[in-house]
Amino acid sequence: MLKNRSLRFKLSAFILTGTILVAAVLFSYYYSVSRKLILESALTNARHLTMETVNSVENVFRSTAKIPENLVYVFETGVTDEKALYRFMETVVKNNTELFGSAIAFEPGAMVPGVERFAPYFYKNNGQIVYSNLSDPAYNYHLQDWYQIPKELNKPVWSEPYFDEGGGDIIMATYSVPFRWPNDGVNENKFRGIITIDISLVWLKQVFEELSIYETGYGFLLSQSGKFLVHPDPDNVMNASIFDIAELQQDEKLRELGRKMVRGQTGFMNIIEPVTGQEVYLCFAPFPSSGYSMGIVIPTAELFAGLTRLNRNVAIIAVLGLLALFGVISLISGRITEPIRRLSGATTLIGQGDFNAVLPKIDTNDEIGQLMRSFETMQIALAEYIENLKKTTADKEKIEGELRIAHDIQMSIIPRTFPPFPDRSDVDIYGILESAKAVGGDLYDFFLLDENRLGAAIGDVSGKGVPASLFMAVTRTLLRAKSMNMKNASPGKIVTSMDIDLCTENDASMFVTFFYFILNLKTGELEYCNAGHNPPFVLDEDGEITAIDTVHGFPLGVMEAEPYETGKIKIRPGTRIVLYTDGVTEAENEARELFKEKRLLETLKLMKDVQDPKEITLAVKKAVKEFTLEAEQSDDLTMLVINYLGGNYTSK
Amino acid sequence: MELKFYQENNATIIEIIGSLDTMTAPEYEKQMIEMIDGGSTVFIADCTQLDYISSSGLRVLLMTLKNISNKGGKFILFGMQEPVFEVFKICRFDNLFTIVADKSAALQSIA
Repeated sequence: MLKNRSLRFKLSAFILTGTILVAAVLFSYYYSVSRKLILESALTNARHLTMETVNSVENVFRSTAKIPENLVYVFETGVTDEKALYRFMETVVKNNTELFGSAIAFEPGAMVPGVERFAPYFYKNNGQIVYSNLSDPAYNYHLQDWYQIPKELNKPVWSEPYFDEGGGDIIMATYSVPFRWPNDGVNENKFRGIITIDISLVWLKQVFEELSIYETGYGFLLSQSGKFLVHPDPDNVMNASIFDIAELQQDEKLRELGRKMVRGQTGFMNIIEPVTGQEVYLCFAPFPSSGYSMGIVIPTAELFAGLTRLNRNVAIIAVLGLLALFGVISLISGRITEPIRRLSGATTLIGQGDFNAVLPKIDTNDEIGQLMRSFETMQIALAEYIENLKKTTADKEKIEGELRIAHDIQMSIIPRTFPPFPDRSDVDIYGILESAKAVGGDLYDFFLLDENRLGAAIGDVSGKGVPASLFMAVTRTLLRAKSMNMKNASPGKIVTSMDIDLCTENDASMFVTFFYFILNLKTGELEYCNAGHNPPFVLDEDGEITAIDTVHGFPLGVMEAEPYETGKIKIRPGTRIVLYTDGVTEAENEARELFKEKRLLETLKLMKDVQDPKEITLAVKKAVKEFTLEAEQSDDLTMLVINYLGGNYTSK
Repeated sequence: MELKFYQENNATIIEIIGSLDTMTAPEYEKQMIEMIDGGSTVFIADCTQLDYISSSGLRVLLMTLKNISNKGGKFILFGMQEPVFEVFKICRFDNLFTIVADKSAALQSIA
């Protein structure tokens, strides 16, 4: 993705990515820690608030609970007079503002012997203290919960809160305390009845309303059965229980909360507020005396509102910072890479062949400066090199051109028109000379000495190339000159004479292997002289192959020795003489194997019935090429095939 | 091709290893001229590891022979492999050079 972008872009991208990563890691760490700390502190505060509320409410309940204890004290001081009891009760109800009413309900015959039910009840009604007796047999207070439960449990009990319809629709609760006497330690201490006080719970609502919990947080209070005693929604108060709402919302978590609260547990919960649907944290604790349970609701969003604001500010600062950083990096990397861009432009020009393209000037000694100086050196060297190359190429082309001309000249001094004597029926000749290099050291030649005699030669100069080609030209010129001057001389004499000339001033020790013969076309008499050359083959009219293997001396130019002798054989019409150089037998294939005489003989055997010298020559050439295949031609390849037909010379 | 020179019984022995052809002949010529110009006159060429010789190779051997002979020295070849000897025979160089079977024969012939 980045492959095609500029260095500047990549540098900026990498640094920015790195910075963003570091910032992101720091930020998430800081955020999670802050969140945890805020939550911990909020929950601690909530617990404190809850406990404070519990304590203050408990104080009220506890002080209220003192009232019935005082009433019991009346009996302990021996007040058993009905009138005195009434007076005392009236005073207590009157003097305790939080008290709505009070009753003392006796066991049968406990106060007045023989009286089954006795229960005086004083309560406030429109500011007046009203007396009433609960002894109606139809009501039968002995069976009521407020009497039965504390009696059975033998301990004070707060009732479920209730609406007092007669007392102006206010929430009330009754506190029932069992009492016993006498308490003198002498007589039997027996259960005598229940003292109750009715108190208003309206003040609780105010206590909860005064709780300040973030923006929309609130407190609520549940009764022993889970009924709402205090709740921001007035419709819930005394009408619905937490279990009703849980049922309605199908909220298992809310139900669990209700169960925990009703059981009197203390704790925290993370729930969804049923009305707003927001996530909230909830802290709850019971009122030990009454068995009520209170809860404090803190909306999570508000809990972390401060943190969210902080985050937004940090994010804004981060974005602005990164933008600034991008600007700075872009500027710096631009500065750094600017010379590289200029260099790149210049090198493109150089690449296109403009070696004089001006390189940008860099004064710095940093890597870019060094690069630029290296490039300068390279540019100069390159220009020089190209200049040299041009010159060398031109020189080489010139030499090659000259060599091509030399090749043409060399080829022009050997006979290359076939058939050479189209008007003669007694002889046919075909030859090839293929140099390994532009010019070579092989030669062949043939000519008619007179009407009946054919002179023919083949030679191979030691070495290759221009020196060999010059020596070849000299050899061929000498051959023609000597043959023409000494028309009746034997091949041995001609060769000896040539050798003397070639040995003279031959400092380079060049030499030429040479085979020369003169064939009398009328008689088939063949005189030859071999100066160190490969023995030629003779295919006679029956297809027999023999080698003319007499060698008369060293190659020409080696040293002046004994005069060369002349060999003689006689051939019959239909005989073919195959002359060749070691370019045939020593042709090399890629495995560095040589063609050898054996393969030449095999090829010639296939040609034993073929008269056409061209066909024989090309068959051998083909066999050599098939043998060497892709290998570079190592030596000049030269062949000369003479087909002696005999018979009287007739002009065709 | 590789040339190795060492002295034995007042003679300079040359091991010619590999192929003596158009490509390698100039190197042989250069090293031999250095040795001859250095004053050595008796040379024995160990041809046991000479695998191939072309006419260019023959030319430089001939030149060595001529140079050494002009200075009154000796140039003896030994241990020639059959294909190489064939080449010598074709151009009668077997008559030109002193060719012996092995090193002891070569050393004997200069004694």
